[in-house]
Amino acid sequence: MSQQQGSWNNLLQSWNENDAEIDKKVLSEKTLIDQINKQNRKNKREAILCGIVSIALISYIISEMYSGLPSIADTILYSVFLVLGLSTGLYTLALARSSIVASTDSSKSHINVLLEQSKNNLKALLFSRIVCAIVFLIALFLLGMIVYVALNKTLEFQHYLVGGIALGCCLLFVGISIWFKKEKIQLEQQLEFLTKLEHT
Amino acid sequence: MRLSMSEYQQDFESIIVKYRLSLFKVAATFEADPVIQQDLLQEIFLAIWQALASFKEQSSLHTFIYRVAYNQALTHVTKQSRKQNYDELTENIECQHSDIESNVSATKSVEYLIRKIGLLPVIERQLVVLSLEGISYNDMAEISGLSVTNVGVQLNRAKTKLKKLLERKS
Repeated sequence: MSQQQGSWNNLLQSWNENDAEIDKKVLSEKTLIDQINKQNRKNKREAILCGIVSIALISYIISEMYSGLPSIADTILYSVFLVLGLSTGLYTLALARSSIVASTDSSKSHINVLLEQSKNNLKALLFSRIVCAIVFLIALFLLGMIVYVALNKTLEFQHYLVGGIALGCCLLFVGISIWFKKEKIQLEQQLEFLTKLEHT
Repeated sequence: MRLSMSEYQQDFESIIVKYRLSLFKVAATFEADPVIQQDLLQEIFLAIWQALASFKEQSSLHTFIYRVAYNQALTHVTKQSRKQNYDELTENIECQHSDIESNVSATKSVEYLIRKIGLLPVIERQLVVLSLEGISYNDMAEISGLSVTNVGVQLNRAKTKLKKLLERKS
């Protein structure tokens, strides 16, 4: 026991007496203060910018929808953009929230919070995948309609435009689906890690 | 009593001066990569800046600071776990540490010690660093959320593991 105490005292000594060695490796006080101020400003700018984009997008869609009775194709396109606008809005909220919240709980409680967050993120991801699949099907349906029109009569400029956007949306949502799948695997790994941590 | 922005900034700057090295050691036990260590240190101070407004003097300032710092470090290590599974993560830390270890001759070096502490399980790692920083059992219990008895048990276990780790290479 006294041998362990002795070696612990040695560790204590080397931990506290070698700060000069560490000092060379750490950013200076001034650099740290500057970088933190810079980061604070950057967070605020990002949140404001996302907020403006979201509000502009949603306002535009609502004003367009109320300006006249839209066709089915227009309604579908508006819906897709509305989803994008709302997603940007939600992202803004998440960004603003994450920049405000810094946990002051005990480590044990913080692990539980992280665990709950991961579980909720997994559920949100599942919901997003379903929404994504629905929007993909709508865009696919729109594309099918354009192909059907193309087979029966000569295509006009607006058909190419709507077809191009629908194709773009299809590709975009395929990409998003692949990204969601990767996210799901990573979230499951995170959940496994936190569960092990909780039981330590 | 609410602090004005300049008082708040002053308080924060004095925290940076006082805790810069201690919190770097915390960051270094949670991250082996020297570049990411600096990023983590910045994230820790950013979290302290954000949390400082909610400090109500119910606990001491250093307990509060360590609590925020460890929570940030835990969030960091959780994010890292997204990239690798638990076993790969531990293995990777061990591998990176042993690469650097070969260049360290002095076994008493504080960097060497930090690397060895970094191989301990997360909670034990936290308790060892807090103990080395001279934090009392009661404060350690408040920071970690464990009972005082459990702190004692886990800390003893951690010390034994650390001793074995130090003997293995030295």
